[in-house]
Amino acid sequence: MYGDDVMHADLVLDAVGEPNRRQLLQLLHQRDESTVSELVEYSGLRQPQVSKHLKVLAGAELVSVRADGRHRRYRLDGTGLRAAHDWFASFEDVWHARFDALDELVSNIPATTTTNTTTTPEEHQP
Amino acid sequence: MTEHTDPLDVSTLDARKGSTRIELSDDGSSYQCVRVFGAEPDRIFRAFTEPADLRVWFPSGAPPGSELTVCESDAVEGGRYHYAMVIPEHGAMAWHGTYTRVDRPERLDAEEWFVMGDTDPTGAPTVQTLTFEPVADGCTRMTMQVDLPDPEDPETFMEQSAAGLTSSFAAMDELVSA
Repeated sequence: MYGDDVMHADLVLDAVGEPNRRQLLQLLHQRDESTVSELVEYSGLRQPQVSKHLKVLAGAELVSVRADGRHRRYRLDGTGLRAAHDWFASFEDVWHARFDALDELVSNIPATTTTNTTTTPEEHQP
Repeated sequence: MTEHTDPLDVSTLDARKGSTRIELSDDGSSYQCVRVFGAEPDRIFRAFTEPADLRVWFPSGAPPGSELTVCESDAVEGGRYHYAMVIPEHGAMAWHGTYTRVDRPERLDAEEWFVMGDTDPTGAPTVQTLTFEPVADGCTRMTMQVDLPDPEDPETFMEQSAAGLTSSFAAMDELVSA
């Protein structure tokens, strides 16, 4: 949540916030390596869209590309995923830390004085 | 009416540490936290609504050097809360809320706006529902349901995207842990 890699995580999460880009990631996950035209065929998206989305995904280091003769082949890149994964873990860590601290706070108050001995600002009618 | 509770019981503070369950909905529109606390519902209700208590636990998990600069809470229906923190390298951030339902001690609902910097809250709020149920040994099970609005501000959007991605992450985890 407050991690140093927030900027990268922001890019990544921004990139994967779009359903078509998630679809492309899933396709790359299933197919390992693909060209743009293969992704066009399997996604049902138009070629300019696919290229545009791949550019965003590459910017977030979610996909990498290599030249293979006349083809450019895209594949998943774990770098971006790791950033998002770490960011989300830190989001969870904050809740763990908060609730552990809350528990410590309430558990330290001696609960032995269960009923009437505790004075609170509220009025208790008998 | 003395109640004997063994402080070294299994279901103690140490056993509960890190036990918060956080579940995200598949569509990324909400998440839920569940946690058992070692006191009765009314005590937990106070911890969530009284500034003196909030000051103790709310800043936990923030990086060293973080400061809670504002901590106000008026736990009546229509009442407001306002927490603000200054986080090193991230600057000021604030949580503005309005309590929409206050059923002490079992339920507390609020609409919340999170903002970065010193800006005023705008747009759709997150909708939070807290329930406190008594469980064995004088403990309380808290369920916190957070419904996220349509992504407008980046932070909310990040939470939402992260939530929506959990299932994909599960499938792709092998890549990052390789």
